[in-house]
Amino acid sequence: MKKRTLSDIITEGLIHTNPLTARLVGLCPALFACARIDTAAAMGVCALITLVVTSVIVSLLNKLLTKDTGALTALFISCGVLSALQLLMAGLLPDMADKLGVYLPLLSVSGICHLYGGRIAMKNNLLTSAVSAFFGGVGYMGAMLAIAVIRQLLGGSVRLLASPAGAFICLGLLAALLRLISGRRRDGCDD
Amino acid sequence: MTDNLLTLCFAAILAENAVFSRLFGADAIRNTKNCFLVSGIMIPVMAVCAAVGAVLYNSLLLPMGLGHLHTVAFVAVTALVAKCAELVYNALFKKNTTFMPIVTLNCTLLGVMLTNAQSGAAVLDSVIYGVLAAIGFALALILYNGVEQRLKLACPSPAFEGAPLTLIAAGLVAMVFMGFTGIDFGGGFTPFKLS
Repeated sequence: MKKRTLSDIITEGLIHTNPLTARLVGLCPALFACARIDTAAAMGVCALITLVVTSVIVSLLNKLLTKDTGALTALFISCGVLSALQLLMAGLLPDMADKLGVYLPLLSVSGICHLYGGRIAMKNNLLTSAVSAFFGGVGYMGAMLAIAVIRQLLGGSVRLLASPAGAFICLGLLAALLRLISGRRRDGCDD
Repeated sequence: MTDNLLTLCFAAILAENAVFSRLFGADAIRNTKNCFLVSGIMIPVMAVCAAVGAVLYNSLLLPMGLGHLHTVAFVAVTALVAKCAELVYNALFKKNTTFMPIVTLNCTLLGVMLTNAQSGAAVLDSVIYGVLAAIGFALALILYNGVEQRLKLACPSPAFEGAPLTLIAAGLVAMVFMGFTGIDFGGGFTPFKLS
């Protein structure tokens, strides 16, 4: 198997295998948060922190874990990190914590933490998994922010965009645009 | 919550559908190959998880002042119930199916448990809402699977193959569920709004 360079990891996380537009993981919190720019940014930052912390801890424990225990460990670590972030947010930004509500803890079970904290961190070394998780998180946040900008700017005049259906359609169009930019026919998701 | 069961059924299954309106189960559209198995498993698992979650939150976590640990506790409950369901299913049907990813990594379960905890619902109310949300999830998943079967016959442009087409089709199905929002049940009572 070809060894992945840093630029491969960056472009995969941001464009080719973007968690939101190509792999379709973490859809539930992302589609909710991308209704507004501020919620998208808050959810994106929380996702980024959770992914990196989970991925680093699972990579450090790699030798002690099997496939099943690795997935469960990633699940509980991400859950713990998100609970801590939720408490922090309730103290520092109570309005934002209210806006995100139950959707912030859902990041832990939405598949993105399982992907970066479980599957990728179990297969790669500490540095590679941390960098993959970081750029995966940045790609996730970037896609959310792009949709949030479109929905917030046009949501007032085009009512469909403000609804969940509009979120799905915007994300689909963004995914198609990224596919055109990347020039790949299908989503090649090599871990 | 149990005051008007019919209204609640309509809200939980159609107007506030767990997949296309509340977006809890949006991740499930990624793979609808086993939609009948997932739907069948989700209803009993959701009932058990909602009941255990409500008892745990109302009788243990809140009185002990540990309400902030509810997310971790609920995830532990879903993992445990998923394992038990897997053991029962495999023993009954002599199969070797793994339920951990399809049940534990399903946002609908945790989303419903967190919503119940946030609204301070009692055990019976939690179970009723959980079962209805799971029925809504099953309906949405099976409906979407039907759309996906038709998509396999389509020849989209290369840019839309795979994920983009899946998302746009999901958006069109979500528009169907949008049609149920804002229905007035008489007396000016309009319990549903776009989330």
